Amino acid sequence: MLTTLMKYEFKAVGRLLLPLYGAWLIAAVMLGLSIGNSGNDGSVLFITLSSILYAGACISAVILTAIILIQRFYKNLLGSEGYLMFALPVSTGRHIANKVVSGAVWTCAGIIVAILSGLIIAVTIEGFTSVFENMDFIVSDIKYAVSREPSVLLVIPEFIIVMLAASASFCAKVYAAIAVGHQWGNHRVLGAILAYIGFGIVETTLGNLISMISDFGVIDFILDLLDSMHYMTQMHLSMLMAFFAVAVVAAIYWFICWILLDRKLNLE
Amino acid sequence: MYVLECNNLSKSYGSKRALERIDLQLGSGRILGLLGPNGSGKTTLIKLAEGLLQPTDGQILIGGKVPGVETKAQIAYLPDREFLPDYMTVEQLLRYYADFFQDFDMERAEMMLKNLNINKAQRMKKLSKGTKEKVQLILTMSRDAKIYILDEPIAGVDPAARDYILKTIISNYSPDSLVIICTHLIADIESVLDEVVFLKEGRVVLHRNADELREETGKNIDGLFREVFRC
Repeated sequence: MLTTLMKYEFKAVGRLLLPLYGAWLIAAVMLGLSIGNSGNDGSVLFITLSSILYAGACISAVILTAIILIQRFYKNLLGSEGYLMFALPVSTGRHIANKVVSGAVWTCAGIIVAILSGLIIAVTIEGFTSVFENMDFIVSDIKYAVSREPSVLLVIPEFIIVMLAASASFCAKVYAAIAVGHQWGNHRVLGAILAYIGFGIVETTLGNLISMISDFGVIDFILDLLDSMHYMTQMHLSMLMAFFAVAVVAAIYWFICWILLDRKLNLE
Repeated sequence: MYVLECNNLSKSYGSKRALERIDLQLGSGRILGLLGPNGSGKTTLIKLAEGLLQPTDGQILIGGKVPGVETKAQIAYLPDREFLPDYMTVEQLLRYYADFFQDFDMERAEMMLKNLNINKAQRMKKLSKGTKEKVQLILTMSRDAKIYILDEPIAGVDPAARDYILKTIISNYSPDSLVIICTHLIADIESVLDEVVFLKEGRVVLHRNADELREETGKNIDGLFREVFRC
């Protein structure tokens, strides 16, 4: 059922975000072309307009991604559509997992589109061949590094997994805050904002506590242990530790969300 | 085993008691009217059956099981509001129900849509309020569920469509299922009711066979309701 839920979730969010990301990429092409073809009298005006358009597309894509993901959670689970969603033979845990995974994927998609838009600007200004003229050197460098240390190839998927987990943790935190705010009879948005701030305070306090623990040598011990290892092992272990830390935080927020939606749900 | 059973069931919202020690045993093969004025606890009872709320005390069982994923697969629930995503077309909603509910009968749904002249290609947001309610009812009644819970199923539709909807309810439920209709429009549904439950201030004040009740009191259910709940 999780895959079926996700199929409809991606369709529902995609119909709003994909045109937005498409517009972002078109704005990047226009900016690149305007800079690349500068030289005539109207080019300054064209560059200014396309820069404003690109900046507008960037800002609106970031803001609207956040708004759409938040609104989707609230409207779909806690609004009138909740009567349909919670009548489906699907557990509350799967409903939350669906929203968290979808939120994480769309957040990462936004980051990828941002990188892609930068690349498009570079390619349209400089031309494909000049941007990628050093590609042969890069490829041969990568081949050399892989031949010396094959596990270097794992760093990219590891980084993507950590990035996805961090996005999932962030989404779970936002959704948990919304679920806390929904417990309020009135002013639910205010409740959600205060809950989000509260979570931040708790995270900071716990961070400070961990720093205090490091005074007793725990962190130093871990760092010494890492120093004694091979640099690639250090890299993989650091990625693993980052993933573990982020996953624990995501699991805590997922649990808060689950308790509130499964045990304390009260749809209007 | 009862299809739906409440044992000493209570529900409070903070200090407000919405349901007070409800004991109710409902079997299959009947259409039950869950009747009561506003705030009597009807919707709370329905939400508890559907697993949308947790009881404060006591328990509610669906086919002997606590509400959960398994019982949701057996209940066809029609809430008293617009609950379908308005960006979807009627056809997409049919596929949605077929994807999630194994007991969904696509042919039956398409036939009912055709009988009511509803265009499958239309988006929900383009439909009138009455047509939206018809689509919601069609989706609910196209399932082969053990329990149908219909909260105000005819409130928003015209009188001509009401007859069709009542006919649909009668013809689509099987002898091993239970239909619970919760409404204020008692006169319109009275003819189809086998059993009635009157709820008042969170308590069951009457649970009887509809025909027996009419014979004993010499009144119809609508008249009796007005008498019991006179302001």
